[in-house]
Amino acid sequence: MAVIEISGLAKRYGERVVLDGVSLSVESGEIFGILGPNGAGKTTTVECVAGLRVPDAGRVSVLGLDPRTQRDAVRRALGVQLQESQLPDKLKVWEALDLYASFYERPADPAALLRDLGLDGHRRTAYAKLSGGLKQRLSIALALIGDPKVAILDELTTGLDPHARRETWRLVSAVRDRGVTVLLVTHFMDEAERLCDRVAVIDRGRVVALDTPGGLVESVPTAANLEDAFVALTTEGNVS
Amino acid sequence: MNTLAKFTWVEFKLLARDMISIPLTLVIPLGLVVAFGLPDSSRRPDPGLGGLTAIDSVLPTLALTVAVAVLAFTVLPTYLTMYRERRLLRRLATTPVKPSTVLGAQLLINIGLVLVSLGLVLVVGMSALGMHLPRSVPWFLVSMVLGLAAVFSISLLIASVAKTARGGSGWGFLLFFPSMFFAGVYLPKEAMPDVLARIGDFTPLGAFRQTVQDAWLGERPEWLMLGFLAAVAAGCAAAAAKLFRWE
Repeated sequence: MAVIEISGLAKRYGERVVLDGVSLSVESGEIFGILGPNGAGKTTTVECVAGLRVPDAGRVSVLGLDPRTQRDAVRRALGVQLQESQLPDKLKVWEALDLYASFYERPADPAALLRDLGLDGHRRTAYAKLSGGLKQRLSIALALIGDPKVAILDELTTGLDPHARRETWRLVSAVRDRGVTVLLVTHFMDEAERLCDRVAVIDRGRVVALDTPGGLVESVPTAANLEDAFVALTTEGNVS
Repeated sequence: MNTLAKFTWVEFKLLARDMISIPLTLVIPLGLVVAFGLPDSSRRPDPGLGGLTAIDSVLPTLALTVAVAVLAFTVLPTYLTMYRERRLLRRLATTPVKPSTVLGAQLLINIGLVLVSLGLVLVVGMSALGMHLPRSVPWFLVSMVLGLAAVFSISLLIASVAKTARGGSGWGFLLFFPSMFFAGVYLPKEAMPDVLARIGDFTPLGAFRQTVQDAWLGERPEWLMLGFLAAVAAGCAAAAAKLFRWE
């Protein structure tokens, strides 16, 4: 069953075309990756799914709901981790979870989430004092506090050291094991290869390929790994 | 606990942890009343004030005006615009929280602080400085409600449109100093040229102070000023609601 369906999504900001007919569907229980160079339209795509942006054309459905006309229902069912979103410096970990839990009618158990995400020992730590990895863990915890069916994780591991990245990958797999469908935005090849069941490669506002990571590598005869396939499939090579 | 109550409580704790805002809004107004209220002259009719006693006219309203100006023009816009700059408002927009809850929590805290500040002034003023309660409590309440609504709706308007914390506090400060001037904080209105004093009556902070002061003396505030405050409140609140952006 498709949990997220996107068809013919188009969006422009003034003259700049950001999305030019993006279509894809995310199945229940998978980790679906959106991969692409910087500025390819990855974030805009998930912003349309989350109801933060209104597309110029096309259709989005989340669990059969329209994020524009059924905003509240979508917001209750969707957990979101946003790029570069920061909490107040002096907010403590447990306070953040406790506050976000109050937004939902049937939230997840904050204590269990803190335990699962290894934040137990940092309950009373202020946000500004958390390391980058711990901030990301808290961000994942907040995305899951509403007990969502679908989680959107945008550029989750950007700026993390290798240990923290691997730890975060383990956590994302654990999220899927809870039965949550994950839509993961990334520009890291190894992350997509390791985590995703299927990957859509977006380039200049279009889906240029959609397959399993292995399938993508096989589709490009010269590719030895996902990065090779990615470079062959996309036009601009400005991958960081 | 419902979302608004929890939000308000968390925001209050954050404000308390910044160690500046709350002491500032409680200490400065009280300090002004004590400093100017200690000399006996504050309890004698003052020809410079048209025969009024300072302790029951300009001093309590001075304290109130300063507390309101600090909170509405500096604290509230800075907090909300910082949340926008950190993309925290955007993050909240993906949850079932409504903008009215976010703004409402800030209003409750800031107006709550104004009332606590006023309470402190009354307790100290009445027990040690010979201050009396406002003579017309109904007009006092009307003036407080309309005045706070007007000044804080301007505050929300700034917070709704400024994109960055720097912009939010910039606009706030731009309004802060002229508002304080026209409300007679630096120079008593009674000592201003009539034209300036009259202009001050039709600035939001100035009208707030004047109507409250009239009520303190047991007089009915001017209808025109009450109407002005109501119009500012309605206009700015409507604009803030329309222009509010999560990002």
